[in-house]
Amino acid sequence: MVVAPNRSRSDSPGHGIRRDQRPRTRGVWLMVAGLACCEIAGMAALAKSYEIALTTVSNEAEFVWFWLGMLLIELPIAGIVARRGTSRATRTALIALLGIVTYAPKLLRDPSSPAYHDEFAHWRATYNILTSGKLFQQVPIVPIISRFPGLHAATAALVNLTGLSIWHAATLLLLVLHVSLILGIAALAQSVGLNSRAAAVAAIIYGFNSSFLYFDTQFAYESMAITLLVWALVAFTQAIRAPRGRPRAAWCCLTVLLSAGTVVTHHLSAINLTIIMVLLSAGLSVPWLARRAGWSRTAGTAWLLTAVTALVLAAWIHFVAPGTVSYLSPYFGTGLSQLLQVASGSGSGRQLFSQSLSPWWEHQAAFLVTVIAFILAVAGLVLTRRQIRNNTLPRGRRRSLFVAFTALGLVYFPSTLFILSPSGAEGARRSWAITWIGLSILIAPVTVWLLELASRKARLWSRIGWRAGLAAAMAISLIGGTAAGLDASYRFPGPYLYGSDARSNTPELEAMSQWFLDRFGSRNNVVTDRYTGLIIGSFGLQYTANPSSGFPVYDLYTDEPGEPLGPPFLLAELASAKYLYLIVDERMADHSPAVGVYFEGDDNGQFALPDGKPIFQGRLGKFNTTLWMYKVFQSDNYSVYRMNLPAGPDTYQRTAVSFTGKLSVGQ
Amino acid sequence: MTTNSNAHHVARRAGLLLAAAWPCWLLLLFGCLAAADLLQAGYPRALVAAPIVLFVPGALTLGALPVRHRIEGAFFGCLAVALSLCLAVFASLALYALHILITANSTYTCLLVLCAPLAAVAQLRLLRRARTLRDAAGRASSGRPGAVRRAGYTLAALGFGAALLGTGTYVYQHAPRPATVGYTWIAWSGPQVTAVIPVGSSGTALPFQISHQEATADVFRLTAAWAGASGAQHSMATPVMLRIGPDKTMNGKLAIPAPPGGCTYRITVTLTQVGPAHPQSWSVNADVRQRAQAQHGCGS
Repeated sequence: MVVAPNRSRSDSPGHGIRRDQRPRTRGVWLMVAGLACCEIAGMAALAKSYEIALTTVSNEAEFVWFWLGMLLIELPIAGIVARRGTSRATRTALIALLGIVTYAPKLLRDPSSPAYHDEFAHWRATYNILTSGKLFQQVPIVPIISRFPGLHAATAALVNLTGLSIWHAATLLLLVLHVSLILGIAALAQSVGLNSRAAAVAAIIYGFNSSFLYFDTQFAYESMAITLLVWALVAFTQAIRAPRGRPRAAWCCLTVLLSAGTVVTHHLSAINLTIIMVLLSAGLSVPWLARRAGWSRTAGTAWLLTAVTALVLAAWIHFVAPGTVSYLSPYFGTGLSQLLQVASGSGSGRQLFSQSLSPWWEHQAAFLVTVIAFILAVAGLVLTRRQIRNNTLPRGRRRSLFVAFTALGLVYFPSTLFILSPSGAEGARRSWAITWIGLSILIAPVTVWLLELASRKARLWSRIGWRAGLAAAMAISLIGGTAAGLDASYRFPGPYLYGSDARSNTPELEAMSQWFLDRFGSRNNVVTDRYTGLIIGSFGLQYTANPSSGFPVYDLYTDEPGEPLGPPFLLAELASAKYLYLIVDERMADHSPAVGVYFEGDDNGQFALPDGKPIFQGRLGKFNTTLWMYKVFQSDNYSVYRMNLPAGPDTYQRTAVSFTGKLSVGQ
Repeated sequence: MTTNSNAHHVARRAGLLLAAAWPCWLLLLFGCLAAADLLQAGYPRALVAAPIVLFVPGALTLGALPVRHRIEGAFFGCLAVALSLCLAVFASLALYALHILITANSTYTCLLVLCAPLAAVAQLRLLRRARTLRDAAGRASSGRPGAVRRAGYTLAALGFGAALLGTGTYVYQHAPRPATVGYTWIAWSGPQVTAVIPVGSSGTALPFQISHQEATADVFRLTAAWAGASGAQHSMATPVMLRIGPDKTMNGKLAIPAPPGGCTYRITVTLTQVGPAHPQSWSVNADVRQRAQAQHGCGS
């Protein structure tokens, strides 16, 4: 554990700060054996769940097996960690174990290759570094990631020094980061002043946030940045709590190092880190919270570290990643305006879980997790108020940090409203990985207090009832927290599902992509839909178009047969930018995409006719007769066209003439 | 008895040496990373190299700063990993800024250059307050009774977790899977079709490839047709019936004479499945024009 400066001092039980007791040796081996059995059984149930999922689009059995497995994996660990008698070392070990086994859902999802949308882009970014030897190479699919090369550089270094493939190096890196993340939360909670029991409980509670199991375990820059962010906060709080002089200077160095690492890895995490540092610094500057000997100097250190981080971030965005502001601002602005429209009644909000493949009870749990968190947060606030009043949380750095993290945690509740806004939902979900850091630190002492309360009950059944209630709340939080994150098509493997990022890859698509690469080489500019583009832009090593109103390549698909294709400026742009190939997935004419969009960029789902059918129906065959397009490949679902722009004059034969040839076929 | 005592003494000395000079040992370990290249690329090399790459630079950073005594086992490891990753990123940025290509050698050298001063500072810090090796070892492990035992718990948990994860993944990957959906494709295989193909007086052959990636053999009909400005299809070759076995690729060609006149003809080669009620078809097309008549246009 990161050792708090006042480690030897015992704190109030309400904060769960009590000397750890040595574990009783009796029954330890039995407990270890039972835990091992539960973990093995949980893993088996998880594998069974995914095996069922492989054969059906969505089946309730896969969810039942999955959650049976996850509860078998997590509940026993949580139970032992939360016991009063468990030693600090055992808790640390169990949290590390939890970090490893909670990586299983994402690992088993697709152990051998990327599956999620952003993973393909990050794979390509890493490939670019390894093949070109340079950073900041252009990346299709998510162009902004090339300006934040932290994850790609780290993965490339691992590939270079270990000889692993990109995907295997990425898997190893993510596993290590995942374990470091959950241990980092425990370390942070301890730095804020919680004891090992409450800190370990905080780490478990953090694991209920919607990003923990899947989103922050994907091969994407957020997954690395969240771990660096948490450890930067650990270093920051240690710098605040360390005695003046060299120890504080050392922790300051580490804070700057880790903050800089976060900045070069992920824009939003770096912004969040800066905001949290501002919050903590502000907390340390409020006399009612912080006034104690040397408090102004401590606040000065905090503001200095915050300023350095903000400066590094601003410099990076200004000099290296100027596109970051235009990339992020629509999410904030549009999300807020849509939410205001919902509030004023002038707009309709998102219908939650409207296209979800998951069962009703997951949806209910997703709503309940907010309620449970709210009740516990209120209890946490009451507990904190009581401790401030009876001076068990005296003025000083610990109170400042605790209150600042509490404020961070409380942001979770208003952020849940953004889930109703179509543009804000994604941002809200992503913010929970951050706000739950504060929420877990606020809730953990209450959970420990409730456990203490349960153990004080005289009647056995009462004790069992209390603990069962807490276990049920934990199960609901785990299920609901995860369900509030990614959709089932992301979480579970399964058969092909049109318009699902995570289930669009097929052997046919890979074969087409490989044929394209063999035939035309790499780095060609290609127009295609979002799902074909994931493979073509990653393993296919091509550059896919990013449609927008200024570059409306979707018009090529929507134009009716007989009409000239696209606005003239589009054809001119395609010609000048050397877009030579168009790839069509014929299924877009008959299916609506599972994630709601057909193209990357600003596709706002405007491609459905009033009857709900796709606008592309009956409009894709026109490419076969377009004069400046040649169909050079066709498989069951994909057609590849070579575009020959600018289009020449029509010189086609107008009368029937005799023109014959001969077909022959051999091996 | 004497042998046991000697062994114990040697082990104790080795332990002391290890604890007293751990920054040097870690630097040496990182230096030996180059030797890992001798191992076969893949899991064996990764097993040796990955822990060194992920742990050593960060651990040396922590050793160089006066923070190490404030962090315990697993947390020290996690912080070391986070710092190692940061240093790897900064090393790449430095290489990029110096216009040096990021390769295995340059990355290794850059990290070694970073690690060497860190190790030196860490070792100096360790020795500064200690006059003897024994004292240094004592200081390195002072205040940490049972540290090895505590680290052992975490290592055991990590080992069990990794074994469980590895076994689970292996079993899952090797479990029976539903058969993958097959597919068939046709594509031009000769020179790339980029514009209207000029055909000389002796005609030309347009080669193509058919790949049938299905579990069963199927029968197909191959046809060729041309179309002009009206779009009407005109058959231009006797259809060929062919049976293609599972996972087979076949090559074919359409031999054509010089197209009549100076006009352009759109040629389409179509493969149609024979048998099913709703037969699927695949096609490729290209434009051809007589080379000699190209400059005269398509006036008549």
